[in-house]
Amino acid sequence: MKARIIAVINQKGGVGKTTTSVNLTHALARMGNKITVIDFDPQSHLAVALGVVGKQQSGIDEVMLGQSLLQQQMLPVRDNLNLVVAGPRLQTLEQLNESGAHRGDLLQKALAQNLENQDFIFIDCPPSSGVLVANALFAADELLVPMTSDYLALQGLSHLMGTIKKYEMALNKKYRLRLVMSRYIPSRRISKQVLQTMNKYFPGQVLATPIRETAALAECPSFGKTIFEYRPGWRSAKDFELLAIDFLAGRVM
Amino acid sequence: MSKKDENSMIGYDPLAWLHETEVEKQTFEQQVNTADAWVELDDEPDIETGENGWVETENSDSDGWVLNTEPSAEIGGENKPATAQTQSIVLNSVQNIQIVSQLHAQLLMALASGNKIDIDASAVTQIDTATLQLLVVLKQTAASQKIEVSIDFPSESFIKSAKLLGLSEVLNVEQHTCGLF
Ligand SMILES: Nc1ncnc2c1ncn2[C@@H]1O[C@H](COP(=O)(O)OP(=O)(O)OP(=O)(O)O)[C@@H](O)[C@H]1O
Ligand SMILES: [Mg+2]
Repeated sequence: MKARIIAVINQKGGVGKTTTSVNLTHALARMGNKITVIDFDPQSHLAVALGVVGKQQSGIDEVMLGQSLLQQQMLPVRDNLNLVVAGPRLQTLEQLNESGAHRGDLLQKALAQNLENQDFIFIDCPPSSGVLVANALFAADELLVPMTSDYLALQGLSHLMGTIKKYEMALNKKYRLRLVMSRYIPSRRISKQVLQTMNKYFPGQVLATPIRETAALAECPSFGKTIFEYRPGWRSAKDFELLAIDFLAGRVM
Repeated sequence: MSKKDENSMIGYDPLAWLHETEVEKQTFEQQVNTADAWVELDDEPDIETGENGWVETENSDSDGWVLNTEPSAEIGGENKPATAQTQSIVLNSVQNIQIVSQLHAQLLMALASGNKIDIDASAVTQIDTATLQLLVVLKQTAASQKIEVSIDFPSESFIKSAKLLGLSEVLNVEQHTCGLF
């Protein structure tokens, strides 16, 4: 069976794309799903958060440039969880160059190889709307959009939806769209209202479990640990376990 | 439109357009039909049109062509929707002078009924000077009416032609999305 390809996407920075990519994939892997997660951000935060800090290691950059196969770049970082790092040349792929080498379908081609027994490929997108995000939108069948519960995040979501609709038209496909309420602060009145607004516009598309803002989630990247290693059994670990079930079973608000 | 309740902490609702798009598609189709009708009416003598159905004037800054919105305002005026919206236009693979009046009619309708015009240029393999000029005039006319025009996903051919004529900057097709399709 073909692996499901999911882009974790939001052009707004700091909304929890990487935190979701790290902890949701680890939660899914712990349940026995075979996962590959691609660090598609030249900042390499995903790799750092998973404890991989090799500087000049190649990764998805070489795969996109046709110099190696995805399988060759997969690092087994946890049971059932492979990481593909960004690699030093991902940044140059993001930059426009005159030769016309910037292409939208490089990642799609790279992922079209036979990925034996992988259930899910996650792509942790950078906070931009450049060539890399275009590549992710070409390659993905599903989009997972982490959203924070503040007003400007809604503004950003409006922009993102405009982009997504354009791509759907141009590529003639319809994404399976899921939103994750991220960095949720239940005690704030605006949080609830943003959540209501999201449910109004995306009925049946907001995953059931909001990921709450906690100190533990902010701390764990600096130790290169997922929440299941850093604070097993704590409430953030439970949030992500529930989110993994939501994701698999399509449980929505 | 979003209803405001007293306790709401969300003032202007940036997502409201998502609920408007369905209506928009319908009205746009009607509009396009009206536009076709206009093309047929187009040789009526009281409008001073050039051979491609657009108005020629002496002192215009773009080689004498202007995008005149008058006719569409007369005919499409009654159909003009109450809410401002995004109009989408997809360019054909070959865009040349033979079909430029068709495009002209479409653009007129879009100008008359939208506050934003998205032009999908991904499929273009050939585009001629007449069409590019029309697009430049559209940009200028739209700007004067505070209507935003974006040329999305321009193909390599589109960009090449635009560059050749020194129009890529005016048409704003130099962004990073160029050549992705
Ligand atoms: N639920 C949470 N509770 C506490 N801190 C969080 C939570 N989610 C994310 N953070 C912190 O917020 C910051 C931004 O999160 P993250 O890196 O996941 O966002 P991002 O969308 O990937 O950012 P970027 O756009 O820069 O890639 C990080 O420092 C992260 O540790
Ligand atoms: Mg990130």
